[in-house]
Amino acid sequence: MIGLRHTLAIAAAAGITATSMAARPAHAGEALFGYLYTAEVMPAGAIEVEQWVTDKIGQENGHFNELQLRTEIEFGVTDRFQVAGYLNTKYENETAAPGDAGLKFDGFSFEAIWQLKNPYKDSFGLALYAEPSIAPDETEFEFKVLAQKNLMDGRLVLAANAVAEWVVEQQDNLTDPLTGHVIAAGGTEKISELQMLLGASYRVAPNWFIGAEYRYVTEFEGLGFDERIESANYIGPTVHFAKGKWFATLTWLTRFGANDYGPQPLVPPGAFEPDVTTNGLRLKVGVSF
Amino acid sequence: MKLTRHWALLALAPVALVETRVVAKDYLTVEAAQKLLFAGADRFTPLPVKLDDAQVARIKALSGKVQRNRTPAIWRAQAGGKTLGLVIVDEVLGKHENITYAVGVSPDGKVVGVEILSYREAYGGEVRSPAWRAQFDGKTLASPFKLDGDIANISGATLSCRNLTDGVRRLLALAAVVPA
Repeated sequence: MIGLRHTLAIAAAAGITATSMAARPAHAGEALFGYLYTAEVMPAGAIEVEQWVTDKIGQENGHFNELQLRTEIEFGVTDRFQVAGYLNTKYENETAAPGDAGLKFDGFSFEAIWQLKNPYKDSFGLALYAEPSIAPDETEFEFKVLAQKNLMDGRLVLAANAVAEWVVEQQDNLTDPLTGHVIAAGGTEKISELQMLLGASYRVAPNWFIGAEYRYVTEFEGLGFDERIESANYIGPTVHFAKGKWFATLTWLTRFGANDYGPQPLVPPGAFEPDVTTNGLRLKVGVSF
Repeated sequence: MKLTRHWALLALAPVALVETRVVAKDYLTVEAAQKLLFAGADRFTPLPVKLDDAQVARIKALSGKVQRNRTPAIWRAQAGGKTLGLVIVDEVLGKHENITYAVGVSPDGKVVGVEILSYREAYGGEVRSPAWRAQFDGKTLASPFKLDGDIANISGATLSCRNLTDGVRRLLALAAVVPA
C-alpha cells in the first residue's frame, strides 16, 4: 500500500511538473511600481517584454523635458534568477540648447536579479539586483537590495529598495551658449549615488492596484560616497492595471525637500541637470509569453 | 515638443506588436461541483450561516487565516437523510482576478475534494488539474498545508497556489466552527 501511494505521489508530482513546464507560466515579473522593484522574479523559461517611458519634467530655472525610453526583454533563467537587457534612448528638450532636441541613443543595460526569499512562500521577499549600463558618454553600475512584504493574502504589497550607484561620465568642454567661450574643460567625472525607496500598493478591485511611492536620492562627488553634492525627496501616487498577459503601471513623483551641499556643479546659463528635475512621470507597459 | 504629444503611441509600439489573449473561464456551476464532491448525495441543503466575532476568531486560531466573508456559502450534502459532509464555495485572490473554488469536507473534518469553479488568470491553470487538486484529499487541520512541502507549487502561479492552499485550510476551520 505504501508502495502504491508512493508511486501515485510521484506520478502526481510528475504530472504537475509536466503541465507546469508545458504552460511556461510567466506573469510573476510584472512591475507593480514605477520606480520601485518588488522581490518577484520570472519563472524559468518565461519571457517578458516591457516598454518604459519616463518623462522628467521641469526644473526650477526654466523649461526642461527629458523623455527616457527603455525597451526591456526579461528572461527567467531559473525560478529564482532572471536576466534582462535594455535598449535605452532619450529625447531632450531644453531652453539652453533648442537645436539639440531630438531622439538619441542612450546605451545598453544588462540586469540580473537573484531572489533569496520568495514573498509568497517565505515570510517576506528578498532579492539582489545588479545592473551595469554602457552609454556613449557614460558607464554606470547599479546595485540594489529589494525587499517585499505581502499582507492580507496579497491585497497589500509593501516594498523597499536600497540602491547604490556608481557613474563614470565623459564630459565635453562646457561652453557658454551665448558667447561660445569654453567655461570649463571636459574630462572624466565620477559620481556615486545612494537611494532609498519605499512603496505600498493596495488591490482596490480585481486587476487594479493603487498605491504610493517615496524615493530619497543623495549624490556624491567621486565613487566613494564621501563628498555629498545634493539630495532630494520624491513622492507620488502609482496605479497598476493587469489583465491576462498584459500590465501597465503609471507613477507620478514630485520633488520636495531638496538640498545642495558644497559648491554647485558648473552648468551653462539656461541649462539644466537632468538628474534634479522637479517632477517625474513613468509609464511601464509589459506583456509576457 | 510635438513628440511628447505622441510619445505614448510611439513608445508602446514594441509591445503592441505582440499578440495576446485574455483567458476568463468559468468551468463549473455550484451544482456541478456539489455533485463531483459528493456523488452519492441525493440533495444539497443550504446551510445559512452568519459568523459572529467569536467564530471568526476561532477560524483564525485554527487555520491562521482571516475569514473575511461572514456569510459563507455552505450546503449540507445528504443521502437518505444522512449527512455526508459539507460543500463550501469560496473565493481567494489570484494574481489579477479572484478564484472561485469549492471544498467538500467530511463530518470527521477531512477534505473530500477540491473543485475549481472559475479560474480567470492567463497562467497557472494547472491548479485545475486532478493531480494538483488531489494533493488536498484527506487533509485535516492537523496537516501542514505547506507550499513546496505537502502541496506542490506551480512556478509562476505561486500566489494562486498559496491562496488556494490557505483557503482550503481556512474552510476546514470554517467547517469545524459551524453547526453540523
